[in-house]
Amino acid sequence: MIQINPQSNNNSSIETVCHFGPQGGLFGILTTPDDACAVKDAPIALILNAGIVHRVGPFRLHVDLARQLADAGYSTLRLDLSGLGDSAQRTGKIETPNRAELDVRDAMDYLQNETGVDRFVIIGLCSGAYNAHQVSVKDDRIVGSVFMDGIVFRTLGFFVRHKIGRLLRPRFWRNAIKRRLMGENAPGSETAGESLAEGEFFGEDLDKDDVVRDLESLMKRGVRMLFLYTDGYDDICGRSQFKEMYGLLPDEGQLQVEYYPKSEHTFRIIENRQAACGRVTSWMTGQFGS
Amino acid sequence: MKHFFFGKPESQLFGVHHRPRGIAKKPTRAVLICPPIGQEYIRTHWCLRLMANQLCRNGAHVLRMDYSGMGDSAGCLQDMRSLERWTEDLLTGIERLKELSGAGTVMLVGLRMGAMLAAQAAGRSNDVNSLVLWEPVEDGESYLKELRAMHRRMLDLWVCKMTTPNDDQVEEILGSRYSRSLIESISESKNDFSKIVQPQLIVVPKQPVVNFVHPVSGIQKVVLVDEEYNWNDLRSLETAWLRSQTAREIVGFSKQMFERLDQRKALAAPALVPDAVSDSRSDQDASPSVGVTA
Repeated sequence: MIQINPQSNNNSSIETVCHFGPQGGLFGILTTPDDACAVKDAPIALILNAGIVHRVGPFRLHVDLARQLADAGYSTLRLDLSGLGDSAQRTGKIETPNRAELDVRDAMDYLQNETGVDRFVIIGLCSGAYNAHQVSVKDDRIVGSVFMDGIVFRTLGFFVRHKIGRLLRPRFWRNAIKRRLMGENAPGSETAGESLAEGEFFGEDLDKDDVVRDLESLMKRGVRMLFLYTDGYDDICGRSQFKEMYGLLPDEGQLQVEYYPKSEHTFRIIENRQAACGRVTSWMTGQFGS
Repeated sequence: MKHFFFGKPESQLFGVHHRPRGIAKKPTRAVLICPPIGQEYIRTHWCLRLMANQLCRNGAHVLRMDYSGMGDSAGCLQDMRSLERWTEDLLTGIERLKELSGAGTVMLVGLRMGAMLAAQAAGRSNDVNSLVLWEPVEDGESYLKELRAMHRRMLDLWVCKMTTPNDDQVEEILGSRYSRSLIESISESKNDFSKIVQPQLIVVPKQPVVNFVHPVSGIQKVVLVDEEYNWNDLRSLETAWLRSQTAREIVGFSKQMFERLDQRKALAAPALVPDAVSDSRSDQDASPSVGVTA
């Protein structure tokens, strides 16, 4: 294995190339903290692809997050799911409709073998959050999950706050007129990127009751959860929608929810990206500190 | 594919080596892919991976790499002070590819800003046998102007009034924060492809703004492709950039260039072969996208 010491880190972390899965065809980069600052017995975080962007993440989000977590003492594997980035496709008969479940299982098996760690935190944005949900439910080794703009359902409150509320905002009309003049989408419609995010990557047969049952089972298992939502994600408006959707009340402990009203879905603005990375890092420290 | 880190221990670069299967062609053919920078790097990753696979199937060793402060390589973009650093990265990549493949010289395939960097690296290395310059950035100032216009438009359409850092230290453009000195370095950069001594294939959309001319007959070939694209459309900022037809054409042309270079014994050792490109012209006349200015 060849290692790397990123200059950008305050602490000296190490990055290692990892191959795992069938014929070693899956690929990821493991970022580990310097021994001096490593948190003892901490779980390893896995960051899944967002859409079809390779493992570095949108605007390099995953690299920033992995290195920040390493500075805080946590190891992270940012991986390419099969058929994405630099990972090979899975061939042959696949026992589940969601190959991400197999890929993440292979990644955890590999890490468990190599490091002895058998507890994991899974992190995903958009389709990555959807996959993180599916995997978290099925594998007891997962003790924490970070869902960034993950599964949501529109509620009555959403329509009031989003659909009606924004009509009262002068900036909405200003932007809508500008977009129309520029020949872009009609007012209120999604941009090409946003419509892709939902339609292409999420299962279409999601049932809210099933998701609620999944979340309750994760709660019972003691899985620590952090839900991050942005205003740029078109189906959610405000932190209060979480309770409306799932009937669960967020707290400052096992079930934490954050809403960023000024952020776009993929954290295009660095200030927003830093806020999200900082939030995930402080959550890790709070939930899995030494 | 083999993934690895290489270069200086304190600032390592990430690379992917595509090694051809079966009996390697002799002399060895090797291609270094020079990606774009910023958000264009992310958008073009898949397309360049597919092209690397195709080049590899044609018998060439291919190295894809990330520049310092980008992708999986060490460092962050804000710490980069000039384009020189990335040119140095390419020179390191050339050396690594020669070691991996056993080739004496390599072909550089650069896309957008990667083409500008490839041209600069070619001017400083005796180990570059030829270049493919795909939709090259020729003028750094114009390039920045276009990126800034798109960035301003993005902020203008934001859900709330939003500003990003832009002072004497840093400037944020489309999700990347550049040091002022790097911005100045990009701004001052200008490519004059007529000064490149190696055979060069320039791939541009139909009706390019610039007319390419080279003083040496037959050293430069310009290919006009059908797949036109507006890099400055904000709606496409996060969509994958796929140009399968053009990539296939480039793979075909590169194969012909390798054959011509091989005929002139220019693959094993550095050499200037002015007619390496033009000799293959007759083979390509049937192509709908051939244009020659030499």
